Amino acid sequence: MRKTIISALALVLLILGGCETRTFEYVATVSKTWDYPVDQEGAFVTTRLVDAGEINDELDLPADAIIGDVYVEALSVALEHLADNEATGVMITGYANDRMFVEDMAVSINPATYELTAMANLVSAGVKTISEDLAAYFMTGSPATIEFRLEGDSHPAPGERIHIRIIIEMTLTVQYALESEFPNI
Amino acid sequence: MKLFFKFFIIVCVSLPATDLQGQDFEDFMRKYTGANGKAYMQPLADAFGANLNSGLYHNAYIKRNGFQLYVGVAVMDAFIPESNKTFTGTTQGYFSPETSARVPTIFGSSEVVTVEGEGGTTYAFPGGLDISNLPLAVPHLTVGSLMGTDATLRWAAYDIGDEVGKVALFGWGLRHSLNQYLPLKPVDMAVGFYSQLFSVGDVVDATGWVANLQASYPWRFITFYGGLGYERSTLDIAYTYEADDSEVAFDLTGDNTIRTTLGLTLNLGPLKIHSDYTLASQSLLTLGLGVGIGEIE
Repeated sequence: MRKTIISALALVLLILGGCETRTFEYVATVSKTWDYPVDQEGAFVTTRLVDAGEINDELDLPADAIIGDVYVEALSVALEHLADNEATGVMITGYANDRMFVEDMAVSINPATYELTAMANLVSAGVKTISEDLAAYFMTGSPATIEFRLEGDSHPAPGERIHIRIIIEMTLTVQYALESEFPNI
Repeated sequence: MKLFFKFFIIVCVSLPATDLQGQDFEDFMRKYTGANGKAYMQPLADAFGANLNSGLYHNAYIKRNGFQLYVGVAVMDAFIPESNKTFTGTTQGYFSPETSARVPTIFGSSEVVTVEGEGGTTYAFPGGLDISNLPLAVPHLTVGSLMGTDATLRWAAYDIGDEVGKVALFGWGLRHSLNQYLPLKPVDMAVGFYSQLFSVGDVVDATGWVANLQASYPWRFITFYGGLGYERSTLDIAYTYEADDSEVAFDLTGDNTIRTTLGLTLNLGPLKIHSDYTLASQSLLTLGLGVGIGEIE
């Protein structure tokens, strides 16, 4: 009886065929959030150095992953009203490694609450550059950091006292491939 | 947890030779945690459920009383229809504007599909396994009969330890001959009910049940058989992504309900080779091999 069952299983394997090496494509998405405290009157400039290695760690890609394209899926922003803030909104222009990725984005400040919303006025070339820089990091290790700089002023009336926390969230997707032995089915 | 996926795929395809990594399967799913994920996985529930509910009989002959035994292996191979290889996925999160596109399911193309958004943003939908069929092999035992009734048992269990725990398949069934009530000879007829459970640790719970009317007609060393059945199946998956500890859960119900089966058994003495085709919203082919004692020979 045991022989029959083993023979049957062997037949099953023969019928199903062998394995082949196949390449599968995957995507991994991660969201990174950064805070920019602003506490001054009128125009402001604030910068944040983002470590590409941190993003890589969060993505937790397999060691044998073959990195393909890197996409910026979304950039979103929220403004948290802090004590003594007088501005009802701000106009922001953003740069990543000195390349503009968002231009003249007007964001209102709600004293009661704040929530992330998709950024308006994204600059396509700048957003693509973020993708390219991160892809270069994943493949070559350079550039290791990206400097995100935000420049702005109160809006619609410039020069007001601004005491806010700017929250930027970037959602990134990395496309990668893995080779696996897979049943030939 | 990664091992779970490895084993699940191995069990699904019934091949121990693959080295598809558990990480791979987790990677297939890491983008999907909402409605897209359910639609992405639905074809797996359909195919796996249909497989579970198949290969349960190879004739409808049951003695009124007397020893009857069948032990063997059934291999089911669910054919994935083209319609189950894509679904309409919708972008999620802060991607703008919200966009829908035809994208691969777990069985669909292995290539990633992207859609362009505002200001140079891009949304990427994961690819699939790019396969056209899903096989499943299970051991099978049927013992009878008492008052024209026999019982079927399917059982397999393996403790792979680690974070995964035990992979287990348990199925049971009862069927009852109608020939003792109706003058049907030379046709044999029976009604049956079968229930199956498949689990992988605390992560996967699959269930299936089928009630059917079976008929068979012996001709020389061949038995033609068939049946009409009603079936239901579920596939529940719940796990935690290691990367961010997020909980992911899908409760899926197989689309199959009505199934029609036609097949034949070669009776080579006690050796039985049988094959049937089941026509349903998820159709499949079954091949079985086993030893039957006290059956039609």
